[in-house]
Amino acid sequence: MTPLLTVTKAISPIKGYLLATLTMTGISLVTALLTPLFLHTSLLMLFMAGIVFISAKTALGPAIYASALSFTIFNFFFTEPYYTLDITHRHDVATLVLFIFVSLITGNLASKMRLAIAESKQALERQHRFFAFSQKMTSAMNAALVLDTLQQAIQHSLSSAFYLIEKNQQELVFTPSTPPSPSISLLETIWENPENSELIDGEVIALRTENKTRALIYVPSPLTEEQSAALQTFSNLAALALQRILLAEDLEASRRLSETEQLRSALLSSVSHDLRTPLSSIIGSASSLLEYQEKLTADDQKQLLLTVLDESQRLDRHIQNLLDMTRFGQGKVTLNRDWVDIRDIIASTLYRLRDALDSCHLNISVQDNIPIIWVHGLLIEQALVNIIDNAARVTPADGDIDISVKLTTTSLDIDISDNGPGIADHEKVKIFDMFYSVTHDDSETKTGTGLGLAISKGMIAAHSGNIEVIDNSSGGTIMHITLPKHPVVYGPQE
Amino acid sequence: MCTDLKNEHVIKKILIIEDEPQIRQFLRISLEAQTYDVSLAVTAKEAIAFSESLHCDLIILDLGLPDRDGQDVIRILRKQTQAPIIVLSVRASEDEKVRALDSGANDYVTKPFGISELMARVRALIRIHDNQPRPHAIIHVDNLTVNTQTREVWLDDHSIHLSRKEFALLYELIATPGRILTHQQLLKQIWGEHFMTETHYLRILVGHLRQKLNDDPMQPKFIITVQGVGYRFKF
Repeated sequence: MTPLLTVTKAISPIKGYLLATLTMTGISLVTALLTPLFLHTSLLMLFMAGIVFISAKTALGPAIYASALSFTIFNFFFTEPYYTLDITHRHDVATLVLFIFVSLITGNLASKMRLAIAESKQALERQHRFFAFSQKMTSAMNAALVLDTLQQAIQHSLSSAFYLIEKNQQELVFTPSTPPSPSISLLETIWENPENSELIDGEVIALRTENKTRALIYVPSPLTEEQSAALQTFSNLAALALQRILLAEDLEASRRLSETEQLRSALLSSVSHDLRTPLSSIIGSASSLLEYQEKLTADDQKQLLLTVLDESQRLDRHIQNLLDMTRFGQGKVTLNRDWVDIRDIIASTLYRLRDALDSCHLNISVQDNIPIIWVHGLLIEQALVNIIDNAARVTPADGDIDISVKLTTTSLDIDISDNGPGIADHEKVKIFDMFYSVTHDDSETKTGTGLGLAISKGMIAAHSGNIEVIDNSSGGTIMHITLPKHPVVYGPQE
Repeated sequence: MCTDLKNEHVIKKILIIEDEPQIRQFLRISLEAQTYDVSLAVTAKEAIAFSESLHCDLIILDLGLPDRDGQDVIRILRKQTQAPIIVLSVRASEDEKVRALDSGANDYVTKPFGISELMARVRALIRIHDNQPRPHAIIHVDNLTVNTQTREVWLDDHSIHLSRKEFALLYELIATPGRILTHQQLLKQIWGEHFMTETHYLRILVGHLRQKLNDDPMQPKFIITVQGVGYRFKF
């Protein structure tokens, strides 16, 4: 790509003169060959054509040189007396004077035209560049990208060296990284107050948004007016883009802040309610036991101790949920994938829930030859624990919980069906929201913290899987989980 | 499973290394109630000094000691004693558990835990330790019979043909029932050093072995999966 801001000279002057000499020599030879056939004044037209050609191809200098050369050659070789610069016939003098005059005018016109074409070409190209640049600017998603694009654009447009200066923690950062010769403190001053840019040699342009300098462009060598204008245009566009990005970031930040606020208040109420309830039972039971141990029957003592144990375990589950949720909320979950047998995951899920599932009929059907899957086993296990625990909580005593694992062409599907009260359509999406808990008319049903399903959804989604709620035809709901399948590479078994 | 009657009556010494006084207390009370001889250490330094002099039969080590990294403590203890080590660690740190097992710990219990869970581990490890090295003999577990010398395996009265690797896996697991073997340990033992990351070989081999032993992975009689860590044989 040619640099945009250097004037595109068609051919260098020396080459221009060389071209003029060559062309005129060529035309002279042709003229010499044609002399017996034509009038020498008609042949002068050949020289005229040559001059127009040189004018169009080169600058004015070579054109004048070509005219003079033509005149001399013609005079020397083709007018009487031959091989002198004298002219015998008067009409030859008139022809030659006219020739010089016309060739100078056409030469001048042609060279002006060439310049005009070159300039309009350049202008068009410049506009294309600006347009492409401004398009890139409007679509740039972050400040780094804006500055990167700006740097590339300047690099293409400017033949001289330049610096992109940014500020990182009160320090100026230079790209390229070697700092320019003027003292950094001078640039610091300009950073704070761009009006001081006269203090420095070369050109400094500040990218400013909301009265704050975001970046400086510093070109140590002097620039032409055109170059400086282009630089200004690029910088203005970039500054606008920065402003837009800043605004968007502000909006995003305030949205996140309000979300965090909501989460925090929900978390607080969850901690105060869901953690304190089991704690009250524990403190109550333990203190009763300590105070009245002698007066209590062995059976009552055992009951109180069981309460302590059960409620502590409930507390542990809540805390685990809160921990999992904060981990997901902060996006700090790294998948530790491994090849896992889904039946192993279900086995340890059911083992962890053995107490909760005591009063339910469990039906498990796993399709034969289910391949091992490439997942973070503990996360999938936790997702299943939360879902099956929910199912156990809503299923009445002696109700059925069905777990089925099937293979489709693209995924591994796990369905968990319960015979609970079901979930109304308008709540089917909400149940996966954090702290959303379905409230049932019968207060008998123990409700959870509203975290379990949100966590399950997060854990399944982290594996590019999905959970959805489907109505169970025999009453209750089906949690339909899909996990992507991964091709298994079989290794040496023998 | 038959246990050596002689060992049953010798009082076993257990060293507890734990900085939390409440946990130390309930462990001591429960273990003493099971007639173990309990010694207590609060710091890693104390524990390292103790383990050499005590000749304990089992060590219970909290991974989160204040004065030293738990993984280091395991390595140091392992140099001093062959006594089985049970690690106590908090949940959600599977990596730490695997590292502990690979550094020489024999089992782990996740905090918070019930005492019965810990006692089962303690009993299993002491039993394994007493019987080591296992004599080349016939092992009976439920309806499974394994002749470790002739490499013959029977389920009830039916002889079962296992491939070389399937038998190697079964042997590794059944030789120390109750003890966790990590994926890495098993891969190294059965396939060799270069295959220690190829866990899917192991998953598939376990699947085949379970099928031949008629072992339902959902309600395993023999091979128990420890999610994210490894396998153990039921005890």
